[in-house]
Amino acid sequence: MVSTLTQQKDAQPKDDNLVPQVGSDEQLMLNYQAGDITAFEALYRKHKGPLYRYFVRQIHDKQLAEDLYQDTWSKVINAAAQYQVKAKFTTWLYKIAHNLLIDHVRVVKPLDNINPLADEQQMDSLEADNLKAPEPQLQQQQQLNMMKSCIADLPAVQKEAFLLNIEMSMSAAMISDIANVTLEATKSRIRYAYQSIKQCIANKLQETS
Amino acid sequence: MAQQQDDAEFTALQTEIKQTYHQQTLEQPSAELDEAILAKAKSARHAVAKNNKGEPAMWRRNAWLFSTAASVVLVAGLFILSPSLQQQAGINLEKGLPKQQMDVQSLDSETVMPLSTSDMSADVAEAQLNETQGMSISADSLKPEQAMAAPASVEALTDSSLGDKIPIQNRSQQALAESQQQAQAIKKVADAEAAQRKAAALPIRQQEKELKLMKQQLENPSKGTIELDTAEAAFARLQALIADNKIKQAEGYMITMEQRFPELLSPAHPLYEQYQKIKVQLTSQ
Repeated sequence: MVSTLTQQKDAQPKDDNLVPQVGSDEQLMLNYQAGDITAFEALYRKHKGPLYRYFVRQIHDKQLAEDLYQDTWSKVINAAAQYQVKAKFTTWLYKIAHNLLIDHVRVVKPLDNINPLADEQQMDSLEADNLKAPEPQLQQQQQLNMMKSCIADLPAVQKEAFLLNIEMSMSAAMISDIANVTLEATKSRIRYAYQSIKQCIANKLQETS
Repeated sequence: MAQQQDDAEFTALQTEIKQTYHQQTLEQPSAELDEAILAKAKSARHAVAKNNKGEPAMWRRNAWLFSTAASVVLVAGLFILSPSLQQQAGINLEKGLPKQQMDVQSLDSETVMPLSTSDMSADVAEAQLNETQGMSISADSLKPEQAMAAPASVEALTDSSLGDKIPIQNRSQQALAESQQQAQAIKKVADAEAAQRKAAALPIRQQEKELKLMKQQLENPSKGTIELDTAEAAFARLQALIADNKIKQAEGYMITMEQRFPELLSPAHPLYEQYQKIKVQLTSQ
């Protein structure tokens, strides 16, 4: 039932005014549709990192995250024959990813209840403990680890909005389209996510000092 | 004012966190995963390109045309093959068919009646045949309007019953007697017609056999189907039956002949005299 609903959601949004520009994601996808494998390679290189992190940072089971990552690209490949430029490629790609995430994770276990990687946290904290005399470089690394930890602690909906915004510089409107929520709710999620991370890092710095 | 300040603060925060975020080493998918996905993309590329190559098939482009033509052909075929539809439409396509086919159909319709009552015994059928034979000899020829024009044929029937009752004394009496004779003859003709109709409906096995034989011959073009459709051919067959001394079969066949070829009973027919001789010969036996 959920799959059916999400398949319907996978349908490309209608935006007939969108005309693919040369070198754009949409044009690359059309080129791949015409048989140009280099176009797909270019498209893949561009999006593989952010999409991979989209899954890895939301699902702490790496194997499942990789499976979903692969499934997303499989869906893109399979849908290439019928691909029509009706929306931005990025919106379409992350909509597929979002729906897969909902199908495979939220049905089984709400993301909000998933605990962050305990091992990673321990390692981060060990590193932080070892850095009792922080030099500027080490201090920066410590901050980065704190940020990572704080992102992991975010509620699922905020985390998704934050990742899409920070990784792909997506606007609130695009994120709301992908997550199928209102624009205002998306804006709130993004704002709360950033504020939460700032507060979290500050708290952690205070703890370490 | 406060809103603008908030926005400015948030933008600054966003920039700061973004800078920090992108300083870290970001996770990337493994090389194996990349290879697997790119290999899948390569293998699917041919299918993608094939699906998008060229225009759609001709039948797809003209789907409406082809489906309409197929529907018309189907309806027309059903209309031609189904007689009930033709009747509903008030059209008789058989009018345009050759006479030979019409004869076959009439023969078929004749054979239906005896077949439906073929469970009666042969003796009963034979007795009925003998009973009706005498009356059906010249049934068609003795229709009221024909009886006046052909008194000779009536004499053959009425000679034995009326011959001694008519005194031949003078012309007036003779005329009177003739008029009475004609009236009786007309009555007999009416009776004979009724009897013949009854006889036609009776299940006569021999008649059935003959009709089946004729039908088989009609349906089998290699054996000359047209021959039996003419009075001459039927007459030849009747002669053959008599020559073979198959008297009963010949009698049955004669009744069938009269039903199918009533023109044999017309004096104008070239075989009329020969047929009458055979008929007298058969009926006298």
